[in-house]
Amino acid sequence: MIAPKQSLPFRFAHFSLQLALRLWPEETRHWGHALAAELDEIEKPFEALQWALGGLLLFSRASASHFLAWLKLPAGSPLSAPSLPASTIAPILPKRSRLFTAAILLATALVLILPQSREAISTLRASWNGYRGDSNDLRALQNLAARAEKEKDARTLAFVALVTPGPGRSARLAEQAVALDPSLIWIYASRGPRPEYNPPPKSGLERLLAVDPDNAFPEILAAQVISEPSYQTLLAHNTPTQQDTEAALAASPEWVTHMDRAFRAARYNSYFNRRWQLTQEVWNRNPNLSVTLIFNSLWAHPLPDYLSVRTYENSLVQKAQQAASAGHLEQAETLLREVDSFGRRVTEQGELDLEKFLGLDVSRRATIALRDFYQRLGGTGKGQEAAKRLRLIDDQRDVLMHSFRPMDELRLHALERNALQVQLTAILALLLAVMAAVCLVALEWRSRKSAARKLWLRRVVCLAADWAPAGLLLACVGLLWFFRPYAEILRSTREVTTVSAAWHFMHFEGLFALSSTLGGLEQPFTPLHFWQAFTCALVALALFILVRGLLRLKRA
Amino acid sequence: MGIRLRSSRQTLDILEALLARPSHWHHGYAISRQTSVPSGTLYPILMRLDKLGWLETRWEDSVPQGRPPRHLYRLTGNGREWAREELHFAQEREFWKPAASQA
Repeated sequence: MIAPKQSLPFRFAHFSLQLALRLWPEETRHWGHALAAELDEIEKPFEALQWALGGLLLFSRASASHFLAWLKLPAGSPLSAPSLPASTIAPILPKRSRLFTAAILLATALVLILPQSREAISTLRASWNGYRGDSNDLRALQNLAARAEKEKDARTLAFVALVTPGPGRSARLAEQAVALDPSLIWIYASRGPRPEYNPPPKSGLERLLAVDPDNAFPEILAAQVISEPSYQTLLAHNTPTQQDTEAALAASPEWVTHMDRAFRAARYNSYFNRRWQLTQEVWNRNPNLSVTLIFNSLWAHPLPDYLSVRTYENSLVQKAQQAASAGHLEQAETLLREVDSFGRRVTEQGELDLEKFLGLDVSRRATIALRDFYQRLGGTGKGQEAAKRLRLIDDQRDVLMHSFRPMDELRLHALERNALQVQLTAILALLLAVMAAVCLVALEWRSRKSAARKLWLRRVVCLAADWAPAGLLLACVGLLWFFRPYAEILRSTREVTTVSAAWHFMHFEGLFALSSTLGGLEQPFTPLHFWQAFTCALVALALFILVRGLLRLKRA
Repeated sequence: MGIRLRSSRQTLDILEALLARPSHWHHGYAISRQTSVPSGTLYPILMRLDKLGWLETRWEDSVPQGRPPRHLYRLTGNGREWAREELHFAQEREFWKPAASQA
């Protein structure tokens, strides 16, 4: 039979009180011992448990009081002052209490978890990487894919397939997405991150050609799959001439077939808008997605292969000239009009300004050839028509050229200044965060003895512990403030419905100024970079003077 | 007397128990049994009385083997005066009744 005092309740009561005594704050531990000592007088197990529970309650109150008293003291100060040898100088401490510092740091954390802050930090991080992906982006994509697979979300799967690096995984996700939603077949055309050429999968392209037969774009893609390796082979040996390139490409009947179909196709749809709508949809549902992924989603979409288009166009124009020389005027005219029609389709139906420009380029050359053709024939009416059309094409090109230029100089400079402020505030926030962490930890772990020769260091550490957290909070608020124009750009980009507008926003509205500001620091020999370096130097000097002045004041 | 303790009924019961034999040293468990105040309430009250200087404390001198020394309490001179005042004041306001009258 178990003796009453050896029973489980008694043993548990003893155990719990002994454990509490080990952790009990020093200043009230004797009361804990006093309470625990009474346990041996208690006969009844239930009473012993109640007594121990009371002890645990007392322990929690003592710990809370101890913690509160500890919080009210500055960092680095113990609750009970140790007795120091006479030769030791009393430690210098910060002025702000731990409670105040904790409140400031909590306020900073609250600022940082705001959605606007997370967007700013994410965009800044992306700019520091030059908008190249990093491991965080990969992880985000993996999580997105996992969720999409679970929820059978075809469109998110398609998005992830389009931006995931690595052809194997990308192909698998694309297959899954198209299996779930066959209308997403166009994604087989929309892969291939530039500048490296990644051809679309053959089976996917064939399926796309079958499903969308009257569209020039997939045919041009199919032609590029053939032309690219040939061109790379030519490049490997020497710099090929136009004739060499034309000869190499025209030697492939398959290439000729695809380009012929492309030039005769009734439609031109590069799926750019579909890609943008898909990207926008996923971005709006997942606002924390890095800007890098959004950029890459746009950049990765292939443009029509200029080499193939130009080469085939040239071959048609040459054929037309040969036909004209041989007296087959109708044939010559038909060929040139075919080229011009293709150019018009790309201009009218292309979704990106670059595509429209390509189309105008093709039409321009065809129209010049037509003008010269009619002028040689003496057909003034048709020649004048061609000349008029040429002027129209040139006007359209001028309008488009404006859209390729960045916004006006004043706005550009304002955004560049903003970029500098954003970057410097972010760097300052980082430095202050590190400084606050190092100084606070150093103070809490400090040695109890203060050697005279380290007084200046201690003063600096205490000053930093006092001011760095507040500086960090101000820097975070400042970062949010300076980031406002970019937040507006991102908000506008999320709302535009055409890829052309999105492209314009992201390329020319200064988001790149964010990355170029930091990148420019590597090359400080241009006027803007000189001012960047000058501003940084001024800030550093101001900080040095401030700290030195404060230290002198303290010594006095 | 200056300081007025916020006297709960439990505090007054404890003061009454300590005043019953003012020069006698009391153990914590004995006070708890006498007043039915649990340990989680008793010891904070004793700690507050100690902080105010109303309570004397000591550890017992002779300790049986295998047992830790027990803590002993009694009211100081000032403590007894203040305790009597508190009890009288509470009784007048009919906030508290002595244990004898409750029996």
